[in-house]
Amino acid sequence: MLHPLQLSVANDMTDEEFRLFKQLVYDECGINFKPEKKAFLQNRTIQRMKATDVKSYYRYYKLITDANTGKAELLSFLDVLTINETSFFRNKPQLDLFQYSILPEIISKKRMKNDFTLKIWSAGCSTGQEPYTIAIILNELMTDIKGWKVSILASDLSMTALEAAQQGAYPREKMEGVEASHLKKYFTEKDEHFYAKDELKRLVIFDFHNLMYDNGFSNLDVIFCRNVLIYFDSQTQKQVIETFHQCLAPKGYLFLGHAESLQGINESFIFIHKNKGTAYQMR
Amino acid sequence: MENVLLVEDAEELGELLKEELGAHGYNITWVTNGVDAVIAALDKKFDVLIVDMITPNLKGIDTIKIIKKIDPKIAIIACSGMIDKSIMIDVTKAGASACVNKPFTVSQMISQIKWATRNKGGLLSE
Ligand SMILES: C[S@@+](CC[C@H](N)C(=O)[O-])C[C@H]1O[C@@H](n2cnc3c(N)ncnc32)[C@H](O)[C@@H]1O
Repeated sequence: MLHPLQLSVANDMTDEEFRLFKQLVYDECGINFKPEKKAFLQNRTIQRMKATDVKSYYRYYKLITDANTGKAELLSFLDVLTINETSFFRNKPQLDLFQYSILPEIISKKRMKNDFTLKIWSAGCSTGQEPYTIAIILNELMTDIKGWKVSILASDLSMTALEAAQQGAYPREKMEGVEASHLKKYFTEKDEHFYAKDELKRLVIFDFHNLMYDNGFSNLDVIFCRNVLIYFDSQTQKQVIETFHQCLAPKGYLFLGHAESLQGINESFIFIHKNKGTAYQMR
Repeated sequence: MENVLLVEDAEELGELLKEELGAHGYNITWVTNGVDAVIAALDKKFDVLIVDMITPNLKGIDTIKIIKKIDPKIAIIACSGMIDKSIMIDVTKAGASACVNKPFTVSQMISQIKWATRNKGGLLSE
């Protein structure tokens, strides 16, 4: 007869099993599962266990931690644990601050220096709404955008989210927040879906990246990392902000989600606040 | 011949114990972390579990608790570089029959195995 632990798919995760997976997820991507999130972790783990036909938590753990054969499944596992909630023009006051104060300043300074490059990173871009929103804003503000070398680097840990982002096709209900005129200008409508036009797509480079690791970026003008840090504990937040600090250009800008702040995390930034929009600028 | 599951992440010590205890007639399965120990215990019946308290992924105490659930009859020996009173109480409650301080000699370990197999259910089970 099989021991019940052989068949944990049918069982609730024990505290030991929860601690085991929680630690692994934390080590791999910084996401910090509090005890009250156990049911979520359990359900998503079971989802992957079914997909891989593994019947016990321990065997599944062993599968995803195998240094040789576990990498792909580990990515799928982390993928199902991420929350990819996002939208176009999310946190409008903040984007207004970006569009009407920060961006004009960056652009005019650059024009004066004859520097026509602009590098923006959307870290934790999910299904692409954030980087495409940035692309719309740039297109609207920079009438001479064709003469610039603009890159919006958009990265995420979730491969499924990245695939959707790359595709750039969104059902109508996801287009809330996009003005009618922008909808017409930057998207093609087909079969109840809106497809990002090439004008947007050519500005954005999507890539897989785990914020726990180095990125090789430098001299970025702006980083958007919104609603990502909330899933990390303060130690991981510190570490991530430190890497942002390293890859921003002097006086570069950082945008965080509305529930996130650098207070007690990093002293190298000045807090900017205007009409409910917030940002940080490197000292 | 008794089947012994050894959980030890220090390579040299694991190697040594596997060889020496093997030479004394024990059938040793050596793993280096708690999860592998649990999986081994799910797959095969063991008479004795020797577990280092500090091993990767599962802590020693968790490994003991889980394996005890799989096989309540298994004899358990906990090893540690520093066994203080509180660890001692915890592992005894979890079902260990013996605690061994590191470093230990092979003959010390063998006498602990003998003692533990005589007190299989743990010290608390009358
Ligand atoms: C809630 S979404 C936020 C999307 C977008 N920035 C916004 O504000 O609408 C959080 C994203 O962070 C990503 N994420 C979580 N941990 C990550 C990590 N360690 N490295 C990269 N991305 C991560 C998730 O995959 C998810 O797509």
